[in-house]
Parts: sequence; structure tokens; C-alpha cells
Amino acid sequence: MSSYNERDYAIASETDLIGWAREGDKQAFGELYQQYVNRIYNYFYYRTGNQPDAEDLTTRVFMRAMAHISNYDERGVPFSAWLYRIAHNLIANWHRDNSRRKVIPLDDYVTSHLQPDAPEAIVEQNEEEAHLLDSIRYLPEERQQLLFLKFVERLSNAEIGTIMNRTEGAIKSLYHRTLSSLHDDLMARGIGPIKSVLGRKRSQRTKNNHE
Amino acid sequence: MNLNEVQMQNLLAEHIEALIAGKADAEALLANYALPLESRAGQLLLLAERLFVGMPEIKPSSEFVARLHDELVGASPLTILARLRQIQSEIQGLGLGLGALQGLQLPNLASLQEIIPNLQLKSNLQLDRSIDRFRHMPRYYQLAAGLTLTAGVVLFASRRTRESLSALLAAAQQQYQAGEEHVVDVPSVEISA
Repeated sequence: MSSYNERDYAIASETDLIGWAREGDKQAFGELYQQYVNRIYNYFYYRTGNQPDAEDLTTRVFMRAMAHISNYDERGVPFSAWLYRIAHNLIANWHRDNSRRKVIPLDDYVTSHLQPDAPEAIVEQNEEEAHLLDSIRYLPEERQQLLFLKFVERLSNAEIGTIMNRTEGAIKSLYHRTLSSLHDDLMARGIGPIKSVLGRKRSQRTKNNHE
Repeated sequence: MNLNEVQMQNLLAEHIEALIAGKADAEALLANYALPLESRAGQLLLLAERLFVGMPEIKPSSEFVARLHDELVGASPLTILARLRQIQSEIQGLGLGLGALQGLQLPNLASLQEIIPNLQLKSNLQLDRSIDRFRHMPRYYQLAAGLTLTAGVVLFASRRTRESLSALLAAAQQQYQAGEEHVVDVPSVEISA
């Protein structure tokens, strides 16, 4: 067993970090935190729609994870899935306490992307995206979670199934039903037919909202 | 050609995996079933592409990330505040209620000391003097002190950041300093790590 001074946390594997963290090495847990904080915060920001709640819930996740790291068994679920399960339980309690189902602050998203002098095509596209995100807000909680894990976190159906405690087949079915209901809602709003948008680099869509 | 449920699910799953891998071609996938982009299946594929492009990553502030890191690894002295924040909301609410009762009862602290003899057994002359001076303060000062304490408990229970605590302590200090003729030597409360 290596001493704390001999450990290089930056290059250590996740398995080593988890093992050290379970021994009480806070620096090791801090390294795990650095690897997952953005993802967990992103998850909460989409689910709560505001920064203070996202920060508060993110704090709770990692505090709880650190308190229970000794109970975590790597042979059960991946560490990321374990964190997401903690996050899912917290957001469920949050929704129950707040009775809100915002995804993101739609106004901020729209105003940051709409350009008054932009070509008509770009303006139309931004408005369609605004309608799309507004439709997402009215989806059931589990479907919102699925969309986040699929399109933001880019997790596989198997990984999503582990987090949501469902089979891979159930996730495929849920994915189909989610897209169908979203599509039907957009049609009802008069948004359609859907046009191809590939060609816009996804990296341009990353936002540092809170710097 | 209409796709059955299983075919549709498999098509969507294959498409999203290709999207994530950066190799999505909706028209090519639909061509396997002789379906156009305007079909139901085509529209769902295009919707998935719209979602893939239109849901941006939202990053936290670097200040928040660094602060929470310090709290987790024990580098921050206000870890008690961080621990309080993870208490279940129901328990926080209970703490709020108890704190409110305590704060509103603060003006009666001296009476409490008489009720509980054990408090008098502790030889703390400075504390006794402070409580006695507090008891002879104008009523509105006593009430203000009680409300300040209640507000402090509320802030703990409302899961706000340590900045709120700092602001509260500064406000309480200003409040005491404002009435110079009634300054009370209240024992300071230190929050240790």
C-alpha cells in the first residue's frame, strides 16, 4: 500500500483513486470529484433550471458520496453510475419539495443565441430550438433524465439502464416513446417538418454560463 | 414500408450510436427500409439530430468548483456549513423551527438560567455578567438580538452558501456596535473545521 506522499493522483486510475478514497484519502476523492463535477453539475442544471440549486445539489452529491464511499463496491455499478444514482435520488426529492420541472432557463438560452441581425434561417432555427427545449420541460421526469443522459452525457443504453435501474431494452423503448411524444408536441405547436441540422459543430454549443 | 415497434427501436438506437460516434447518416439508415426523411422514422431521426446539437453543456463556475473541492478535501475551515447543507430538508426544517423558538426566547435567557440550576453551577463570571447586561438592555435590543439569531438559523437551514453566513455575522456585529452604550461582551462563537 503506497503512502500518501507517493501517490500521483493526476495519473492514477479510477480504480486506484476509489481504493485510496475508501481508505480515507481525501485527496484521492478530490481527484474523483474533479473528474465528475462538471457532469453532475450539468445534470442538475438541466433538471433544476437555475444555478443556486444546481450548486447546492452538486455539493450534496459529493458530500454524500464521500460519506458513503466505503460502502461503494466497484463490482456492482460503475462509479459514474453510482454518482448519478445519488443525483437521481436527490433530484427526485428536490422535485417533490419544489414541484417544479424546469430543464434550463429558457429565456437565458434563447436570448444568448438569438441574433437580431442574423439571417432569417438562423433566427428560425433558434426559435425551433427554443420550442424544442420548451417541449422538453413538459416531459415526465424520467424522460427528461433519459434525454439528458443520452444527448448531453452521451451514455449508452446499457449505461443509462444501470443508472435508471432498467434493462437496455426498456431504455430503447423509452427512447422511442420519448422522441415520439416530443415530435407530436412539436407538430402540435406548428413546428415541422424537422429539418437536418448536422453540420453545426456540437463543440460550439458548449456554454460557460457561470464564469 | 412501415416499421414495426422493434424495427423502429433498433433504427433509433443505431442512429444515436452513430451520432455519438460522429458517423450519423440518417438518409443511409432510412434507405435500408426504403423510407424518406419525411416519413415518421425519418422525422424521429432528424429530431434526434436536433437534440444532439441543441442541448449544450452547462459548466459550473470555476470558483464554485474550487470552493467545493476545498471543502471536500478539508482545506476549507467552514466544513461544518458544508455538512449542514447535506442534512435532509426535513431535519433542516426541524432545526429551523427549534432555532426560531430559541431565537425568540433569547430575551428570556436570564430567566432560563434561574429555571435550570445547573447553569449557575458553572463558574463563568464573564458569561454571567454578559447575560446580566443583556437582561438590562432595552427590550428592542433584546428582540433584535433574538431575531438576528433566528435569521442565522434560517440561513443555515435554507442551505445557502457560507457568504450568507459571513454577511449575517457582519450584520450582527454592526448591530451590536451601533448601540455603543449597550455593547455586550457576548462570547464569540467559532466555527471550527
